[in-house]
This record gives sequence, structure tokens and C-alpha cells, in this order.
Amino acid sequence: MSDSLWQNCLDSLQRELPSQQYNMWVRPLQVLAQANEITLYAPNKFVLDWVRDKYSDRINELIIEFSGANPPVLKLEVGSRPAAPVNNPKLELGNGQGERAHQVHRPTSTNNPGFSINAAQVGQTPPSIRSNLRENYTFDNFVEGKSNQLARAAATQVADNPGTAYNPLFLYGSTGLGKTHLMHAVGNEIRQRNPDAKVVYMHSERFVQDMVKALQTNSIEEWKRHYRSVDALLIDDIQFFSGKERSQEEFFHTFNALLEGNHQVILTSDRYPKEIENVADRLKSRFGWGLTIIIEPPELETRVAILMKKAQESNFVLPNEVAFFIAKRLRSNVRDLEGALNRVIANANFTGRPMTIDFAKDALRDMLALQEKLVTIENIQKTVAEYYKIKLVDMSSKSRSRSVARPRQIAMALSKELTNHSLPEIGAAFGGRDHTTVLHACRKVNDLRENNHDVKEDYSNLVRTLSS
Amino acid sequence: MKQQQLTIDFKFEIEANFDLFYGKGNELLLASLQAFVASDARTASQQIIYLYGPKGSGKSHLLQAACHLAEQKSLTSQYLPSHYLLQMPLEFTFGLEHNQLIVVDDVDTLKINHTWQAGLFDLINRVIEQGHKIIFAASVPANESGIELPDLISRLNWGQKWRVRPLGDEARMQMLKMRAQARGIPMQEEVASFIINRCQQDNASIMACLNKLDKQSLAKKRRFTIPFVKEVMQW
Repeated sequence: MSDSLWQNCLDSLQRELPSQQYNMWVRPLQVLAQANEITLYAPNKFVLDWVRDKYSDRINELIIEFSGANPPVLKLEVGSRPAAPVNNPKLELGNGQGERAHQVHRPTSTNNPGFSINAAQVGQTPPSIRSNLRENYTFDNFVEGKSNQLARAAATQVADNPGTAYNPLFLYGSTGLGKTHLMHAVGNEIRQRNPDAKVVYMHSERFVQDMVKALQTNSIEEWKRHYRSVDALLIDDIQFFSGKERSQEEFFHTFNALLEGNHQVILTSDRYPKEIENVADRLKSRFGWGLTIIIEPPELETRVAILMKKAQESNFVLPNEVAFFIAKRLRSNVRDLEGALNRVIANANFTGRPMTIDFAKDALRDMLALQEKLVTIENIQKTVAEYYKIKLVDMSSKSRSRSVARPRQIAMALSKELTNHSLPEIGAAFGGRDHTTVLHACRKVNDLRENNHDVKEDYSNLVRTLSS
Repeated sequence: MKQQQLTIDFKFEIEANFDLFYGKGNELLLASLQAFVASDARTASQQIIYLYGPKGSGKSHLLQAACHLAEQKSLTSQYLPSHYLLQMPLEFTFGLEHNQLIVVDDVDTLKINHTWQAGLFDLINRVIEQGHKIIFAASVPANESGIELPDLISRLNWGQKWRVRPLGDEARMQMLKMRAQARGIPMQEEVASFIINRCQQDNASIMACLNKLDKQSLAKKRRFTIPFVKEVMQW
């Protein structure tokens, strides 16, 4: 069969179908055309059923129309087109997806990223454990700062003594602060020291999907054995277990089995274990058996160091002052920093202009405009008042009661840190106070942040809210 | 209603490629987007692009152009309009990460649906794990999209963010002439000007006008004149 048969079918379908349908369902199908049959591969069963139901009759008609006397048989399968045999490197394709054909996932294992039962079923090598580890997340390229040094130290210890140092290691903190990076770094380090170690990284959503799949295919026992046989299990964003009781139940038993066998468990979450909603108490209490550590948003110097490191990894020369410029304006998380850096690099690549603060300002102007729109003194006052549940007018009132004065001082300190307003301007916005009052407030808040955990946490929550 | 249907038609035009995107004011974005599709990504941040801009500024065109470019480069791709995703079960996305490029249009539409926010978050993670790429488009930046899942927002913000700048009047007229010419329709300056002055001021609406006029011109074998435009568009 020639390449052109499927292409002819595609051309007709493109003309006949509303283009939305064509682009969603037909165009992405992969095709393997052989002498007597034409196989279309869909990414999953849902798509397969849809295509079979809605389009296969018409596709068959077109195949007959274009191929004349001996039309090939149409087959539909889940998966990707298999790799071309070595002695037949030229694949017959319709939609221009030729050379990548060797990058395939085999039919039937499509939706099973971590756990492959089918490999054994079809008599291939025994089920191998996919680690899912990202090799580029290592301790070497993890930028350490005050906000994450404890977590890094604990992670290093776990990598040195898996299963014995801290088990489980529970890392928590907002999104984009490096929890996943540290987790992978531990996994990679364990594997480097012991290449035979079975380390599995998995996002909790995927863990759930895998389990559901195993239940559907009556392979839950094998699934259990798989997870209970690993040397280290790394589950990310455990808060996604919320409300999924059956998954929690299975995870509970897996967790116990691993801990009993001194196998390492590392978990991350966006919040403190006890605060995870709709997760069974017995599971939450077990999360706290080892070591629980927070990762906080990076401070300015760390943000600068992160930018410099990322720029270096992209072979890009980022002047210090430009790194400071970006880091001062983007505070909430590392992903935002990376996004901004990539945007600056893209602009630099295409314009060839020298990398200066003005250049960065220009490249990021939309992003910074957004940021500035959010961070005004007025907005800070409103956000702080809401946070402490006080009235907005208290921000400028004469009251010196601590319940009002402390939030007001925090709002002043935030105004100094997050806006470009001068001390007198800030004082004026807080009920016409003197600039020395603002200065005192800034010093006081700095002091409290060093010595008072609650203030420290409140302050970083507010910074995050205001600059995300 | 009629107008809306035409707009949806435009979204999936065969012509949605980079050559036919009138890129004035968006030159850097165009170059970056093409480089993004064509080049290898080494970090997760290099696997994501987020475009935002007002309705009708050409985002869907750009996303489909990215898919077309991917095909030219023998890469597999999948176009996902979010309003369509909302009607699908999550299973629909399973395995999609094996496409080398995924594009998700109108991602801010997902703000009303927590299940799909988590579903998209999961898809992004899978795409990143595969080392593949994903492009998003929305009318507003991710932080203002109303999406409630912070994990999803932080991933939408992970890569380059670009604002798609809408065209000015003159540029819109040039775009119309360019797109007409690409279909072999000679369009005089005053006809283009007439259309631009009366049509809604966004690319999608202008293209919807052109589509309608094109169809009628073929059917009635009429040339593009002001009286013909008036008659067809009932202006």
C-alpha cells in the first residue's frame, strides 16, 4: 500500500469534517500501513472508542474508494505506531510523523507509566521498575539558601542512609520552591551509589491512576507487590490523595510495608501533614513519624543565585545586576523566576542586544506591569487587613492597640519591601504618619521575623499572596 | 449567534500557519514560538510557553500554526480546546503525553472546573516527564485566570510568557489584504478599508467576514466590491 492512501483519506476527512473534529480526533491518529491492513493507533481507549463509533465507517468507505479492488483491512488499536523493523527503515505514513516513529510506547501499556504488567504478560523481559527520576535534578544544581538549607541537609542525609536516617522524609511548602527537585536529587543520589537500587518517583495523581488501572485489569496483587518491592518510594504532592479513600488505604499498607522493611519513603505536600484535608488521620499521623521539614520561598540572594545557575545551565551570560533586577521583582517561586529568565533569554537571542537592566525591563514589561498592578500600598493595606481580619480604616487610624498596630507595622514593612514608594510616601498613606514611624515599623518587623515564628510565617504568606 | 459560529469555524482553518499570521507587533513572539517548536528543551521551563491576549488576537491561529510546524518537522502534536475538554472525561488525556507537542487553547476556561484543573496539572507533569512540550493560550495571564489550583498556575507560569498584542487599524487592514491575497482574492484598498471599518475589531471576526464573503463570492461568481460586501454582510 502506498503512503498516499492514508493521506488521501486525511485530505477527504479534512474537507468533510468540521475542522474541530478533524484536529481533535483524526489528525493526531498514527497510522501503520501494510500490504493488507491499515492500523490506526489512538492514544487511549476513550479516543479509540470515539473514533470507532464516529469515524471508522467513513474511513472504511474512503479506504475502499481510494484503494480499488483489494482494499486493506482497517484496524484500530490503542498505543503508538510500532518502531520500523531494522531492515525496513522507511515507514509508510500519512500525517508526516515518520522519523519519530521509533519513539513509541507500545500498545496496551499506554496508560501505565510507572507499572508495566503487560511486559510480563506478552512474554517480554520481566516487569522492570520505571524510576521516573529526572536525571537533571541533582544536589549539585540545587541552589541552597536560608529558606531551604534544612530541607537540603535532611535530604542529603536520607540519600546517604536511605531507610534509616529519616523515614519518611516529609517535605512541604508552596508550589515551585524545590520540593520535587530535592526528592529527585535523593533518588538520583541513591541510584548513583547503588545502581541496582529500585527507586520509584511518582506523582500522587499517577499513583491513584495506576491503582485504578490495576483494579480494572484485575492485577492489583501484582501492583501491590510492585510498589512494596522498591527500595525507595517518592510520592509527590500527597495532598492530591485528598478524598480518595481507596488509594489512601492502599498507600497506607504500602507505606507500612516499606517502613517495616526499612525502605525509604519520601513525600511532599503543599501543606503541613496535619493540615491536609480529607486524608485519614492514621495516614497523616504516619507522615509525621520521620522528619517533617518546610521549604520556604527563597530570599533575594538565593533567588539571584538560582537565576545565575539557571542562566549558566543555558550557557547564557547573565550580568549580576540584571539577576538582581529580576529577583527583586519576582519573589513568589522558582518557576516564575525560570519563566522570566527564559523570556529574557528568548528576547536576547532574537534581538542580539546587550543584556542590561533596561533590556530585561523591556523584555519583562508585561510581566512587571502585572506585578506592579498588584503591589500597591492600597492593595497591601487591603490584603493585610483581610489577613488579620481587621478593618481597612485601622490601617490609617490612630489606634495603638497591638491587634491593630502590629498588622499596620507589617503592612508598612511590606510597602517598603514590595513597592518603590519612599518612607514619607508610605507614612502619608498610613494616616499621615511620619517617615520615622515607618522606619521604626520596618525595623520592628524585621526583628520579629527573626525571632517570632508566627510573624515570620505571616509575613511570608503575605509576600506570597501579594507577589504571586 | 451567526457571528459566533463563523468565529468557531475560523479557529480550525487549514490556513492557520505561521506564514499567514500577520505578525506586526508580535515579531519576537513569532520567532520564539517557532524556535520553541523546533528546538530541543533541556529543562522543564523550556518545555512550556504561555500566550495570553484578548479574544480574537490570533492565539488559536498561533497554536494551530505550532501544530502545523510540528508536523512539518515530523513531530506528533495534539490540539486541545479547553471548552471541548470540559465535555470529556479525564481518560481522554491518557497517553496524550506521547505527542511531542500538546497545545491547550483557552486554558482559562478551566477555571470553572476543579476536576479538569487537576487533570491538566497531571497532563503537564506527564508531558514534562516525557521531555515533550506544551503551549497554552488564554485571554489573561495565569495569575488572573481564576484557576484555583496553585500547582497548575505555577506550572502555567513556568516557561516563557508572551502577550499577544492585538493589531491596530492599519495593521488589521494589511492582514485582511494579505489573507485575501493568499486565497487568490484581489482586494482593493477601499474595499478592505470598508470591511475593517464595519467589522468587529478583532482578527477572528475579520476572518469570519472574509470566510463568508469568500464563500458567497464563489457561489455567486461575484468580485469583491463594496456593493457586494454590503449585500452579503447586510451592512
